[in-house]
Amino acid sequence: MASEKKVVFLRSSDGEAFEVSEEVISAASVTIKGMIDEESPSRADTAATTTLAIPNVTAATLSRVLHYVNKHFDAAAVVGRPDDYIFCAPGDEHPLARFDDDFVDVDNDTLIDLVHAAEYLHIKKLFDLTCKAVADKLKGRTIDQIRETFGIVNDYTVEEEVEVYRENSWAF
Amino acid sequence: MSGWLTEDVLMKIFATLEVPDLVRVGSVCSSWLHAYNCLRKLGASIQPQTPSLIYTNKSSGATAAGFYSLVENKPYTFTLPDPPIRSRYLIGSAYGWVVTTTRTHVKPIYDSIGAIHMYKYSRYTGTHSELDPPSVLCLDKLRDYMFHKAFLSSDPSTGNYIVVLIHHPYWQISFARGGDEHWTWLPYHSCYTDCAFKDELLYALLVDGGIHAYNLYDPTVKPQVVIEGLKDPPDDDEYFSVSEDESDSEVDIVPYRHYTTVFKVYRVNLTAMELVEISCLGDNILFLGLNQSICLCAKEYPQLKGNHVYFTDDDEYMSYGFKNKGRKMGVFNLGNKISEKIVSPRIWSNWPAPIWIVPNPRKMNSAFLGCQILSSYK
Repeated sequence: MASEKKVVFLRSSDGEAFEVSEEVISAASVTIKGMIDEESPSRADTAATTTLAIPNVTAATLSRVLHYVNKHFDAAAVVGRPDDYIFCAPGDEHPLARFDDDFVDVDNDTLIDLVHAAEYLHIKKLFDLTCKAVADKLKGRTIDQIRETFGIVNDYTVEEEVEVYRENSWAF
Repeated sequence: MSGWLTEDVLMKIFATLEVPDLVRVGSVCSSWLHAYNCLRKLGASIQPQTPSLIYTNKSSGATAAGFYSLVENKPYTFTLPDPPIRSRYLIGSAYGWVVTTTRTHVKPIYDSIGAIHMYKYSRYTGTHSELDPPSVLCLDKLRDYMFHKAFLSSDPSTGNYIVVLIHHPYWQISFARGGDEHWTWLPYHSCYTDCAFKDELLYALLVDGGIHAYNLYDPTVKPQVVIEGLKDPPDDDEYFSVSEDESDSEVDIVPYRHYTTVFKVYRVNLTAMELVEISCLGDNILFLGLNQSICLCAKEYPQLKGNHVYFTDDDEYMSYGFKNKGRKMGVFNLGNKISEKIVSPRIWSNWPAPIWIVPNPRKMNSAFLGCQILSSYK
């Protein structure tokens, strides 16, 4: 008889719990794998399900992260879905390329939250993807556009601003 | 915005950018500037940059250089220190450096008064009656005639590097190590057209497609024939250049026909010691000209076209009183054998001729753009 798949619950910073396959999340997140490994001795003789607190990630973000994780790290989900047009367009080099593009097509706050979550949870593929998405939002923009897009205040002193202008203004 | 990004994350994001974007994000605010400066000091993690064009434009002034980004299809202008870029020949580019010769610093390779007094010496044995009699040239003219193309073995900022020069008479080779007072002449052969460094050896390509290897670290350096020249070499108006295809450690060489601008590509098989003509580069892209020849893979540079040759003019006759001659530059499709313009209308002056450079983000300061200028050796 196949052993029943273990699941863990992840509790977001705002108290919502999400169920995820232990195998899948362990493959995805170095941080959570570490937490599970720490818990293991106390779980060996109990059937109780583990709930892990993820204090740095909100429910909204965690739900997105788990959506990504289930798509990318659940072997069953990745393989047998050739008819799923959202996830595999003709000509896509990677079957999840379209999914990834849609996944990061979000507003800046959400994207930055995803970067933080991917960094904290140590999910390298997601971290790379979200960092690249932020970089794409910076490309071809003027400095003023970047400040406006990301709500960044120009905090240079007059002297610093002159120096930065002298060094870099050729690219402005 | 919910808590901005840590410096580590900013650096990771910045490291994926090309130079003009990278400079802009490094100017947004003080914390981004700090991340930008840290990234440049660490350096290694910055993604390889796409080749860009360095050029000049008469209307921009003598010290202004143009920088054309192939990623953005956009020109930029920046100022370089004296001597003015428009008074220099651009004879090489590698590791984010441009190698130039200047009017004031140039000295002849063989003689302090400007005469190429060894001109009649043979390329091989010291006597060769067929060669032209010696010429005597003033320094200014000598500069025009002397240098063809320069090559760097490694980044000069490390201090440990070799410059190799193809020069006249007869397209011979000399080299100098960083700090050397003089060039070391390699008088064994002539008619070289391009060079590449690989595995501590200098591979020097001849106009007939032959390749010689030199170990410049050997005090008794002698050429070793790696590939014999083609029995049916390209026409006089074709020139070879050589670049290393890093993906499979092969070397591609390309004759470049100036007047018709058609490229033929040969693969160098070092094991069988032969040249094999190939009709397709696949995903590979060549950047040819007076820069150190480059071979890239289109998969890593999505803005560039695979199976294309991006070329600038390396015609040395531009030195001989044809400075204002139009330059052959473009993007050649090996599939349909058609060249397209890089940008239209033309934004560069014909002289000094535009040259490809791979910007080095680690070297950008005071608007140098990573294009440090390595003036010619004395």
